[in-house]
Amino acid sequence: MAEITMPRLSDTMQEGTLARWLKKPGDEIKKGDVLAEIETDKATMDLEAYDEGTLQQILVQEGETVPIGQVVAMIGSGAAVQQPAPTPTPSPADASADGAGTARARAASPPQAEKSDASKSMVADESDTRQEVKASPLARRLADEHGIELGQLKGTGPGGRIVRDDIEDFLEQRGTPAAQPAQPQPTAAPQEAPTTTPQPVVAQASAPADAEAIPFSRVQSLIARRLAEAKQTIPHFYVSTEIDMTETLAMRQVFNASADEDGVKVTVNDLIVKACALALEKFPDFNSTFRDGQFYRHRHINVGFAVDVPSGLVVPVIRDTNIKGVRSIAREAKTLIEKARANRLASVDLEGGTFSVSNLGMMDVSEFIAVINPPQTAILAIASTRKQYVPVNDQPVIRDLMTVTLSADHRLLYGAAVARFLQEVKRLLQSPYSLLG
Amino acid sequence: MDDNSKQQTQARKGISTREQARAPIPQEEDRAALLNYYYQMVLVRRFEEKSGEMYNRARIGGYCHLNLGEEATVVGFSAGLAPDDYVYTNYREHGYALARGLPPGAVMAELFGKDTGSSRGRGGSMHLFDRERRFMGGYAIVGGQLPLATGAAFALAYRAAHEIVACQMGDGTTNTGAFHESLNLAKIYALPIVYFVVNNQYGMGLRVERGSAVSELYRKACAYDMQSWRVDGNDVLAVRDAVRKAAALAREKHEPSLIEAVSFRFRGHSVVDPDRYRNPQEVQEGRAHDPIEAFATRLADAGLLDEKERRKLDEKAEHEVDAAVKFAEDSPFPSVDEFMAGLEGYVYAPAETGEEGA
Amino acid sequence: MAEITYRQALHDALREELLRDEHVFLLGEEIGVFEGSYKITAGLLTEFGPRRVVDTPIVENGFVGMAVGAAMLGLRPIVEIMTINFIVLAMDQIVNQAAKIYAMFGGQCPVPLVIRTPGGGGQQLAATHSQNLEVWFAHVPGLKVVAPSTPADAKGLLRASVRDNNPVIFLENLALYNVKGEAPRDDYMVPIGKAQVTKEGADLTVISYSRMAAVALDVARRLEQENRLSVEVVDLRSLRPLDRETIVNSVRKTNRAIVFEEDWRSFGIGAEIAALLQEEAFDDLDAPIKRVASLEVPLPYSKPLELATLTGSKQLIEAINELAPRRRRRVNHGRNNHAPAQ
Repeated sequence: MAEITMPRLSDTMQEGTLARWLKKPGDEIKKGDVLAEIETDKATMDLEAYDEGTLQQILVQEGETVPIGQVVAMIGSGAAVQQPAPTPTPSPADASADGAGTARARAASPPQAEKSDASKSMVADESDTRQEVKASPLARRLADEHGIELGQLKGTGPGGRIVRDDIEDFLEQRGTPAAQPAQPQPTAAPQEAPTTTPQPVVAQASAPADAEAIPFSRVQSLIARRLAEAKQTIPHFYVSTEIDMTETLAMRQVFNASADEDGVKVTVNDLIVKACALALEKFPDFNSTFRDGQFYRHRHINVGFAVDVPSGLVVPVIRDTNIKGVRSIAREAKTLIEKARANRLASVDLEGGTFSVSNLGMMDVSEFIAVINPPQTAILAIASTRKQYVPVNDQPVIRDLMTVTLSADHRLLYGAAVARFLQEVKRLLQSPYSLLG
Repeated sequence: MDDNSKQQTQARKGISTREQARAPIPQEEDRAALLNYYYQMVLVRRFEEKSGEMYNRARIGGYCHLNLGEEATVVGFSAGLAPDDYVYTNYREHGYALARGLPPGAVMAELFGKDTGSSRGRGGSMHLFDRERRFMGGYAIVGGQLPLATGAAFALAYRAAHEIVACQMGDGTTNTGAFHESLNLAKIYALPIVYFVVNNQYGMGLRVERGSAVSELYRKACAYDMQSWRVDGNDVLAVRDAVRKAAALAREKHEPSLIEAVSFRFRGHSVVDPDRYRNPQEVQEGRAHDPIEAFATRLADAGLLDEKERRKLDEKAEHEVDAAVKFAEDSPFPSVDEFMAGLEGYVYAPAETGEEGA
Repeated sequence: MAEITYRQALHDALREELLRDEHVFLLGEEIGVFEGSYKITAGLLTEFGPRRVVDTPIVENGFVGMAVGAAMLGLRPIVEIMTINFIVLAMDQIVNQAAKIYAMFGGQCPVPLVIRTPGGGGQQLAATHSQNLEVWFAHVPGLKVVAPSTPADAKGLLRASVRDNNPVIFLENLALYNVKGEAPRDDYMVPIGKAQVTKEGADLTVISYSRMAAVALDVARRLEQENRLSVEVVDLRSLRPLDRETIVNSVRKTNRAIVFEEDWRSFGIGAEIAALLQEEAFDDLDAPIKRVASLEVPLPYSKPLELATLTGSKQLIEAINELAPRRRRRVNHGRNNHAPAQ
């Protein structure tokens, strides 16, 4: 038995319509006989027989359209076989594949949407910078390498674009000699500006005879630059206050005593972070950042806390600190500290902070001043808690006192506001049950 | 024009030379050669039928133009040349390639796009090529091959070589600029070339008279002061003799000439052409004057080919074609990875080919 | 070394190739008896005879195709097309045949062919005799396209083109023929596919080819002399294949680029260079890439109109001034002082 298939009759043909059968089952077929008329995309053509025999079965009826290669009839020796022609089915694979495909596509979209919403507020600032400031690709790269905030620069290129010239101006002014972009330099002529490689050394000078150069990692260089920038560009001023931590410490003990086997103990730092977060709800100006010459108040309160690690200093961030319970904060902080110490912090752990806390209380420090962490506008420095005598009802009583100092960006924050903010932090820590819930 | 004017008058309409075709075979003809002509014609016929079928089965893609009905022209053309002469053709070239000795398997594999094809699958139906057998292609642009063939003849003259170039083309080609430029150049440089026009009366659907100011195409050669003849394309011996004469002229005297072989296309222009523009009666008549049948009859009349012998030859040809299809089917496609890794080598010839030239 | 004209360099190279290799022959309109419409082939018919120096009738498609056919049989023809404006008549034989034969036939048949032709305008030859069409051929795989701007490069590149086993379009320029330059006397070759930094610089890169490369070099030297700017000049020398590495390295260094071309701006040679640079040197770009080209109109005949339409040193200087960085990086050899910011 031989199959007669829908032939390919033109280079663009994909399927053909069986217009008219010219033979019927039982007919004798010789090679070259025209069996049927086929309608193609271009013309009506003949279906020629390549085999001889008796037409056994017609499988495709007049008017039906089938793809090329599909069997339309059977030729064999012997009598005709009368059978109802099976209806051609479109290949099921395609239909379900489409269905599955669309379902998958639809399923994929909601999580994406969520993710973008969540990350919007957090990384919005980062992306906003890239879109709002016009800079040449080279200038962006140089800015990244030197840790320069593009927003600080005024562009002198076409359309106010920041170009290499502007970066070089800035670096010169800052005192850092311009680092050459790390590209192969095929020319023989040397650049007259002394070159510094972006890593690992911060400044290049020949070491004095009795000293050795301190090697800086890339991270350290970056931190160094940011700190220098912060001090140079932000007008810092400082306000201190003494907080009576006796109640907080007592509450903490109660809290941790009832801690179950999950073992997360709340630290003083956790409580201070919560207190700051609640205070920031009342004083939103302190929950701001400064970018491109503009201060922005943030809707989410993300408090970062400094962690001392071998590779330097990192400030992991706890998001939405104000709406998290102290235990959650404690848990998160513990995880972040572990990650920091293992050098496994992800960028998402470090991004989006709106306020920072720096705690040296575990060292014997009476007070200290912290450097604001740009682009933030304030940072709270926590010193050690010490037992001291204070008058209560004219009687000397021993209380645990802790000095805190707030460093603030004087462009946005003035003395009275800072004092009031500190009062609120003090109030919360001195009646610590307000921290719960 | 020349001493063949009687034949030309008779050959005015190809169909009317039936009498010519039935003329007895001259005594001096070599039997083996004649049987070989017959075999080659049948081989071309079977091969082309099979190509049509393979196209419909989507084994062959793109365009596919068949020599069905032109077998006498094809075989006569080849028979008139020496084996080391160079041949350039248009895109209706399968038969010419086979007659030149390209293995049917290599040709079918090329049509299938396989790596074992004569052009390694890179050319397809319209770009067959075999350096060794001096089959110089297979060209898809109408008239594209004419300047090339003329240039090949130029190289032969340059080298004072003994080979010649034969350039086959269709009737529509005689209207192109390339045709006129090439014939002119061949004449002014006295090149050893034979221009062979296959006039099957139609471009695609355009009848010769409607496209050509002069429809007796051989007459166009007079504009170049070139000798030319018209022959019955259905008579393999007549075609062969004309080509032999022209080849001798080219080889001995470096005189280019032109032959017009009037033939008939059994089917449409290509395998996808339903051929609705020809009068069905004309087509039927044409098919009835099958050059293979005519030659077989002549051979039988001369006692050179009996039924049994003929059947044997027919079967041999069919087997050869079936074997070619099997070879093509079993052959691999070119490796895509290898292709991608060797793009530079695909497009550009390397620095040292070490070849002096053919 | 000897100082020779571009024309002399071509003539000498043709003559030396004809002497060196029996397979080499020349063909084209009026190259024999008339000694070449631009006298490149003067004296060659007398020396080598009509077999090696072939005068053709006016049949570009015919004789270019003839050259391709001869190359298929192993000869090495050098075709002259009187000016690039006439090459359009031979498009089928160049693009459909010459460029494809090696690939189409599975690698059985190389086509060792050279087509020499001058492009460019400025002689008041009007619209159909003043064009720059090389980009069409630079687009086609299977062809090679070279464009020397100096006598030394013309000689070295013509040799390399004749010895290459592929079809090569050898672009000359009418206004370059009389230009003088130093050329070595020995049998040196300039490789196809290698650009050259003809002048080193630090402030920006001008990328060019053919006559415009010579103009660019002249402008760059003047600016350097006047102590105004340090411009690096890259002479492409080859359009296909393009020396991507040299182009990219230069712009990585200077961060700013101008393509200076006589052809039309839209879809011209500069379009490819600009795309290439933004692909491979994106983070090194300090400014968008400029293209300085001729006005996109059929070239008018009248002299003042022609001058205004064709691009030249004036337009290049304008573009350089617009693109130059504010802080100039002077290339000082050994000194350590900062360049004064301007």
